[in-house]
Amino acid sequence: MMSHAILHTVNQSPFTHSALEQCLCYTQECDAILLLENGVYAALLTHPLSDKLSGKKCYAIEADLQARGLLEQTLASHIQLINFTDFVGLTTQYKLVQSWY
Amino acid sequence: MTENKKIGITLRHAPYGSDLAQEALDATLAMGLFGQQITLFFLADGVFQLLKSQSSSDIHQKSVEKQISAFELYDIERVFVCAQSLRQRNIDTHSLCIDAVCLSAAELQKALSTQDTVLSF
Amino acid sequence: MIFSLLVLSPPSSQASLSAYQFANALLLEKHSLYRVFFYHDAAYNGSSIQCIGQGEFDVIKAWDTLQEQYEFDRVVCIAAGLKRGIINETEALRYEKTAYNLNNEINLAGLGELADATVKSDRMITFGG
Repeated sequence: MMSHAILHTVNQSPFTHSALEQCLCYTQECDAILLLENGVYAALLTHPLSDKLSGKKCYAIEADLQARGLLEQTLASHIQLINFTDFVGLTTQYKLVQSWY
Repeated sequence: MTENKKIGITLRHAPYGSDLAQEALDATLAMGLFGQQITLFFLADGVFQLLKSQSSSDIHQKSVEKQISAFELYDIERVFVCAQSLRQRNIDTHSLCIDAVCLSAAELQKALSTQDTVLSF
Repeated sequence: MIFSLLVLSPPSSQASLSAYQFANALLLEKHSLYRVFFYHDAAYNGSSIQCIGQGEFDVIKAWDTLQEQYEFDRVVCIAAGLKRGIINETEALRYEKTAYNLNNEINLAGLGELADATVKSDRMITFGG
């Protein structure tokens, strides 16, 4: 159990919205980021924040990537693809969940 | 409700364009009424909620500034505002309608991480 | 663990579907769900008269089924609901409205229910956007 760590969820595309950029400002070493819904576009290797994101512990909902045809694209290799059961598991490991939308 | 939890509320949206800010503040006041330990985090466009001299009657909306001014009555005294968000928007702390503690992003993360739970608005 | 969810998005937004999928997953994992609080535009999740196109997913009906299987509270914030036209019989009489549409399985209640859920749950997860 990570008692002082935060799980940040981001569900907006980094190409149209500043949710991920804001999230990255307030994320510390111990925290993790979960990309879901349109947030999974941030898993593309070439978006403007991928460098900053690469230093973070990062997960993405696989079904959201699959739905958007992104599994065929070049994705950042450090991002771990998970399902909703894993998402629930993460929320039990991290004491707090901050949603960026 | 006998337990006393540390509840963090993050407020990141500008007022008036949608009623999210207003409803978030309503929720905040309700939490205060229930005797919980509330800490508010005004981040990003949320800092616009704190501006002085809001006069929203011409756009047919209730003043968010008035809601915020009621914090004291509800014993909501821990109010943090992001220094970087203020700087990016060229807002001076003298332009804010309440006394808020200005913190860096790292300090805000630390303060947020000590809460028992977070509501994200 | 005891979970509660704060949902802020209407059925037309994927965030409301994510909230449902999250609830389903946590219940399958034998966690308990105390309350789902629909606030802001999520009040539209309280309708009983939505008509969903053929082959499309009816998230409100899915909540009904989930709630039938597991016991948990579904609450639409009364203030958020009333101003969006989500209303039960009692409130329709009070405000002299000619119709009401709140889903039978859902309570219309105040923000105190959100405060109560926040205090009584180990985890409160917000779904917005």
